Amino acid sequence: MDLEFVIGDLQDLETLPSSQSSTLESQYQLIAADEKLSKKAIDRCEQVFQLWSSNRGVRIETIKRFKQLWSIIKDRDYPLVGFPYPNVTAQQVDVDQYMKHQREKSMKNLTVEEVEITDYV
Amino acid sequence: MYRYHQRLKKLYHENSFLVKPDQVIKDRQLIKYWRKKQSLFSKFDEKPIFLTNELWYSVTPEKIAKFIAKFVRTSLPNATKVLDVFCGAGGNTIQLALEFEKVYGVDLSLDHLYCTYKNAEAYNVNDRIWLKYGSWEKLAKKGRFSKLGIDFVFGSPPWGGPQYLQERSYDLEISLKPMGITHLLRSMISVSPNVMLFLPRNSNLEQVSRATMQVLGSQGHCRTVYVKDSGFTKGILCMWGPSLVNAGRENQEVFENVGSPSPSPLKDTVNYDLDG
Repeated sequence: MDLEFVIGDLQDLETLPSSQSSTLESQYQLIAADEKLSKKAIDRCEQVFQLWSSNRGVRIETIKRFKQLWSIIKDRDYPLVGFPYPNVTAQQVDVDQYMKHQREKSMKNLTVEEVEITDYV
Repeated sequence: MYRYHQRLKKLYHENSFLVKPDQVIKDRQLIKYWRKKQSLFSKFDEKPIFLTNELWYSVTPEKIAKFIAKFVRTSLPNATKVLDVFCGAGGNTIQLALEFEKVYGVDLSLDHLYCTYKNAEAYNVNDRIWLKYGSWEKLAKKGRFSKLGIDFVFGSPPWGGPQYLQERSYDLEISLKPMGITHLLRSMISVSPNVMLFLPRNSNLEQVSRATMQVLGSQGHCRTVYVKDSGFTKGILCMWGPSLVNAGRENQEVFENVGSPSPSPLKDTVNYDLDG
């Protein structure tokens, strides 16, 4: 496989479908062994990571490929903030909303009504 | 031991670190924290509150500490004993003591332990806390808390001051003190399977994932909750243990899934109010 093509089309999941992702590692190793290709690959990785960081405009599968490429070339992980991991669930909570919800929940066993006693009697 | 006893005696005798209402703030970096002191301890104007300079930066704001305590209480309804391994000024220790029968607190600073106790007195929970002076790392290695039947372990380790936001991604293995996240998680799990850490909002989640795998294996799972107050993310809570991980799953309107949470904004657009 042409390695320049690999770098250029790594983001293209039609040309390089996700089913082929696991076979790309050997290509990454070859890229890492070539100084010129490595530099080109690193530049491309950084562009993609920047796109992810700014507006999440990249698919997860694509990010995984570039992270793997980066880690093979650099021999370390790229610390991409906000990237989902299978053993980590990420959520957000507003503390005021949570407290309000808890207060309302604790009063769910309460029925509040009013009665005009003269009407009742 | 005598030296520590003498030091404590001196602190009590001098009423050290009492924050006076008419205090002149000489450290300019503290001014913004001083202005929002009510959000650190709501009883600031009613009761004596004690803080060292360092604790102004590091104490968990009361609203967040209250949220943590109430969330844990809801998730672990039968829990009675909890441990706070970096108690600092006692922000979390106090809120936990309002929810649980017994709270153990650890800190490497006598000054901090003194402040925790004095602040606990302000909140009338001093009878429920038991404080231990020492290095958490050493105490954990000796198994000092492992046989006490602790139901939950909490840690808000030092983040290194407001500078943590200068990094786009906070390195949890290098920057977190006194030890990196993997070592810290391992030490806390040795006491209880229910563990929670309060960490910087720009923490590297890959390191959280890796630490989870290394300590708990392939079945381990971490729930990470970005804690927001008035629209600003104040930090993240990483929690382990099925009771915490699965708690409140039905409340999707309160706990919103963020498969890919917003990245930390650039430093000059960040609300630095009360960082961590």
